[in-house]
Amino acid sequence: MPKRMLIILGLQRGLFDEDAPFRQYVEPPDAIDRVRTAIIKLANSPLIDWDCIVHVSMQQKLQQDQQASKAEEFLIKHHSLKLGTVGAQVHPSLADACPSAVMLTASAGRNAFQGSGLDEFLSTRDMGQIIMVGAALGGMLFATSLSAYLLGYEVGVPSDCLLACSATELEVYLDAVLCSIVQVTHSIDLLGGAA
Amino acid sequence: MSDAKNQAAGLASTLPADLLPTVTWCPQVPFSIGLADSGPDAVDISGWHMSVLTMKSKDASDKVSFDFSIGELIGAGGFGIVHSAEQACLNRDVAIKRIRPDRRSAATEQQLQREAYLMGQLEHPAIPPAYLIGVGDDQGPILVMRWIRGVPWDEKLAELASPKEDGLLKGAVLRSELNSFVRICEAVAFSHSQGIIHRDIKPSNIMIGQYGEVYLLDWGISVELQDDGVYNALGFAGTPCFAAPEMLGRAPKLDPRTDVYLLGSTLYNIVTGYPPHQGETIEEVFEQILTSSMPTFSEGWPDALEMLCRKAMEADPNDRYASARAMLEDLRYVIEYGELTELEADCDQDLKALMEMDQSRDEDRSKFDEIGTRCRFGLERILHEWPSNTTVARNLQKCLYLLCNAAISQQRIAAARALLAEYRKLAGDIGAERAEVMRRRIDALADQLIAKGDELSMNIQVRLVERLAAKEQEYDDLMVAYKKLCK
Repeated sequence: MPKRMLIILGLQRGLFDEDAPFRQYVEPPDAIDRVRTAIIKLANSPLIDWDCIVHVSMQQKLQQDQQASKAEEFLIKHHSLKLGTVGAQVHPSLADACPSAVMLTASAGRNAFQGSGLDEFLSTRDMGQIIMVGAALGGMLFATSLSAYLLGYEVGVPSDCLLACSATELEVYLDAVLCSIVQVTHSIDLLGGAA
Repeated sequence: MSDAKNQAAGLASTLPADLLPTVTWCPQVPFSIGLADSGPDAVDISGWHMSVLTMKSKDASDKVSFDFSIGELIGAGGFGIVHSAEQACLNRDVAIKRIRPDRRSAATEQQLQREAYLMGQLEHPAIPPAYLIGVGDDQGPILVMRWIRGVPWDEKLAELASPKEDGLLKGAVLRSELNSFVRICEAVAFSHSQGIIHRDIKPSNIMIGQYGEVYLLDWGISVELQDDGVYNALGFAGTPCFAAPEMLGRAPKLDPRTDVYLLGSTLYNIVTGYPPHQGETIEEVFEQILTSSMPTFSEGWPDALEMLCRKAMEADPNDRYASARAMLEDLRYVIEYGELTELEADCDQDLKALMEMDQSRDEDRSKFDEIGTRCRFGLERILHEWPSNTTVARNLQKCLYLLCNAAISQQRIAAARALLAEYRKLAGDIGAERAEVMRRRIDALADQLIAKGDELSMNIQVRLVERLAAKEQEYDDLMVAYKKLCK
């Protein structure tokens, strides 16, 4: 059985807190809570023996001539995920639930592999399968998954553990590109069918 | 004339005829010395009745008589002939060995008595038991022993030799013959444990019975070792085309390692179909033994068996197996892993092909991958079951290195990493430098791929946003339509 690692992208206070201004852009607003709960449940399930849990915090920085999504516009405007700010801190629910989770910080951009040492972290631990959850905003999940795919990792994404501005946005990401390079699934499937 | 030539010529001219058995020669060069030319039996005694008298006590005052009906001639050696016979009192067939009439002398009589005496000490399933020693009607010594019905091994090997492609016995047939050879090694190891060396081990002195039983015959020139574990011979005795170098000295010092060499010679004969030493004349054979006692091993030899045979046939006894038992242990190992040695040969070929493709930068990657994968898993299987095979371990390192390089070239980074990890485990400190170079290449490739992921995702992102906008418009339109309907 290949070693399995859970990678959580951007589960930070700026995105997931009760009073996070980002909530107003998400349809429906309680989607944030559902995703957060699903991630915490997945991370702590006794049905899965994770070899490691890694949280990668990321900054958003748009390239020139690149169209920004609503979420990106929000992030840029509020700088809520800038390193060192309160919003950039890992959400307490994850920190409490997964005290052993490893924290990595990626360079500015969308790719969790960029500047975070994530690839070295994975390869030195002989990780074969990675499950990615968290923010799918602004191409974060897409860029990260594409690099993971090129690096030869087997990637799975449970759709109920991904945060996008809307169900439509998530559907576009999953259907358009991700389904051909990652295994799109549901957290229930990962838990062996147990709810 | 070289020293070896001189020695060989001198030795051949001074061979003590009484100690020299018939030479068994390779089929291509019929040749014999000793008494073979004069025929095995000067007087045909088939059909005779013979009374064998055996002495009950040392002073020979009390004697027991047995009657034997002599049957057909079943074998002949340098000085002895063997007939079948019926022992009426026990209603059994036996073999009776006696000295050829034209070779009778005090020395040969003593030799037959010694043979009987030594055989009497060797109770082993692969050594025919001596029943009794006595005096025949002609007052000559008679050795009565079990009659082994079967085929001399050299004849069986000659039959097996005909369908061989590259001249070597292989596969299941070879394994079967090696199993017989194990029995011989066991018999020799046992005789050594009793302080006796055979000195004339060769296929024609081995009989394969009707039911697969194996017997080492003709203990005619076997000798007891002295207390120091050595036998100081007076001259050459044995079969030249199988002989060990130390047997050719003017005052040969022999020990169990001499038999080890003869076992090696026999093994060589089993695999190739001919003895290790050949020549047009006896001088040439002796010269070959003295100058190059190690025969030529052609490419088709299974590696492990070749290593074993070479070790048994080293010119210096100190470099050989220290005992027949030690050789036996390796032999059992080779037989047990016989299938693996064949697989090893296939993997060797695959590895050679891989190296050639790597050198020539062959573009056919699928062929490279196919051969490389087959070679890798073949070698891993061998090493799993035969962990002490260092040659296979080295070859697996080479294979992993080549495959890792190929994976890097093809940007298959996960495969490259997995191969590098395997390579590191095997190569240890010796391959650390090479492994580090590969690791750096893989890391550089990883950086490239991460950047490539970024670039690709950015390009696609623009189109995704367009598609998202279209989808959202579509959704908004549906919602408007739905609200209209609801109103």
